[in-house]
Amino acid sequence: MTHPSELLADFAAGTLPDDRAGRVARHVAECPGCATELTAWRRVADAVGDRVAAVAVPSPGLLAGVLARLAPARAAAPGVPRYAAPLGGAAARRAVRILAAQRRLVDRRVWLVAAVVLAVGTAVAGWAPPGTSEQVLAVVVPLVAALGVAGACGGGADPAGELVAASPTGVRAVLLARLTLVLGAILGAASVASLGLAWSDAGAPLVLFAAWLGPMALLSAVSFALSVLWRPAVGIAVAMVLWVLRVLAGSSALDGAVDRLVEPLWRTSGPLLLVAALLTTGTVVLLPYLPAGLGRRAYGR
Amino acid sequence: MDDVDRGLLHRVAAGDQRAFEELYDRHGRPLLAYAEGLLGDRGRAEEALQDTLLATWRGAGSFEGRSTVRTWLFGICRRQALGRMTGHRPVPLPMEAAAEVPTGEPGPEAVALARADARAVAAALAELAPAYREVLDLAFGAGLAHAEIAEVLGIPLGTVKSRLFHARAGLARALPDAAAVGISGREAGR
Repeated sequence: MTHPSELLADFAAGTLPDDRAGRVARHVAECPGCATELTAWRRVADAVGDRVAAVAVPSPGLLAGVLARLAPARAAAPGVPRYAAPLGGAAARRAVRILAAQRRLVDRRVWLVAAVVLAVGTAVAGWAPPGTSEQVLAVVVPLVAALGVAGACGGGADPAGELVAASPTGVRAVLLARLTLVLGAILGAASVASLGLAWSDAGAPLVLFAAWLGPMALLSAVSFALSVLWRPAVGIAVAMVLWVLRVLAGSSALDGAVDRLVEPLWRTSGPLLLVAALLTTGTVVLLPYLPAGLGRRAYGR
Repeated sequence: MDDVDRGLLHRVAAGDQRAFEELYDRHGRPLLAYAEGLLGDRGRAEEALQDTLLATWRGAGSFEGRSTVRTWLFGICRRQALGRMTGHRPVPLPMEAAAEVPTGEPGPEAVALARADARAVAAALAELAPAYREVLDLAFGAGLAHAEIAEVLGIPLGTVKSRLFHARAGLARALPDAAAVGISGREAGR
C-alpha cells in the first residue's frame, strides 16, 4: 500500500469505511512517517472535539421555543380554499353561471355541426313541395338533437373532462346544464326554422312543430341515456339505427312490420314525451351511483 | 444512520412532532456547535439553530434525497448562520487549489503538531482563519465525510481535502513555538 496520506484525516475523524480503515491502520502500524501524520491529524481532531464539547448543550428552552412557533404555524396554515362564489348567489344566478361556464366547455364542433345541418335541413324543407316540409324537419331535427346531445353530454374524448371532474359543481348539475344548453339551442333554432317555414307558407305552424318535437325528444333521450351511461358512440349508433329505420320506412325497402314499429316513434304524443322524460330523468338520477368506468369516467365522481 | 434520518424526516414532512424532536436530539448539538463556530456568538448561534429547525419543519417535504439528511441540515444551518454574519463573512481563501499533500515523509507541520500539547493546539485553533476552522469543525466536530462537506460548502471534493491540509498547516503555523520548529520559514518560502 502506498502512503494513505489522503485518508488519514478521514481516519482520524472516524469517518472512513471499515474496510479502508483497517488497511490504513495496518499501514500506519508499520510506517513511522504516516504515524506522525496521523498523530498530527489526531491533535487537530482532539482540539476541534474539545472545542465542540465545550459548546454547552442547547438549552431546553430552545426546542420548546421552536415547538411553540410550529403549532400556530400549522393551525393557521390556510387549507384548501372553499370555492363558494357561484354557489352563494340566488338559484337563478347560479344556474346562469353554470350554464355560461358549460357553454364554454362544450366542444365547439358540436355547435358548428348542429348549425350547419339545421341550416341545410331548413333550406331543403323550404324548397320541398308544399305538404312535405314537415317530413324533412322530422328527419333533420331529431338527428341533430341526438348527435348534439351525444357530443355534449357523452364522456369519452371530452377535453373539459378533467376540469369538470375537479369542479365543485355537482355532476348532475353539470350534466343537466349541458343537456339544457344543447337541447335548448337546437329547440330554439328548430322553432325559428319552423316559424320561418310557416311564414313562407310551407305548412301550418302546429303541424311543422308536431312533426319534429316528439321524435326529437325520444331520439335525444335515447342518445343521452346511452352516451352518459355507456359511451357516446353507442348513443349515436342506436339513435342512428332508429333514424335510418324511419328514413327507410317511407320506401318499400322494409316490410310493414318495421313500419308499424317505427311510425309511432315519429309522432308527437303524450306517451312518447313521457318516455323521453323518464329516460332523461332516470339517467340523471342514476349517474352518481354508477360504478367507475361507466359514466363516472366522464363526470369524475 | 441516514436511513433512520430519512425515516424521521419523512414523518416530519407528515407533521409528526415527535419525529421532529428525535431529529433534533440526533443533530441539534453538532449543528449548534457548528453555528457557534461560524458566528462566534452563543446567542446568534442559538437563533440560527432555531431558524434551521423551523426551516427543517417547513421544508421537510421538499427534501429530495440527493444528499444525506445530515448534509441537508448542515447546509440549512450554514445559510442561516451566514445570513446572521455582520460584516465579517469569511474571505475567499488564497491558494485553494495548491494542496500540498505530503507523501510518506511527514512535513514539519505534522511533526510540530504531533509534538504539540493540547492546550497549544487549542490556542492555535482560536487563531485560525474562519473558513479553515469551519472545514475542521465539519470534519472533526460534526464528523461529516469529505463528500458531505463538499456538498455543505458547495465546493469540489478535492478542494475539501486540500483545504483540510491548508487548515492543518495554518494550525501548525499558529502554534506558540512554531518559530522554534522552523515552520514559519518554510511557509514564508512558498
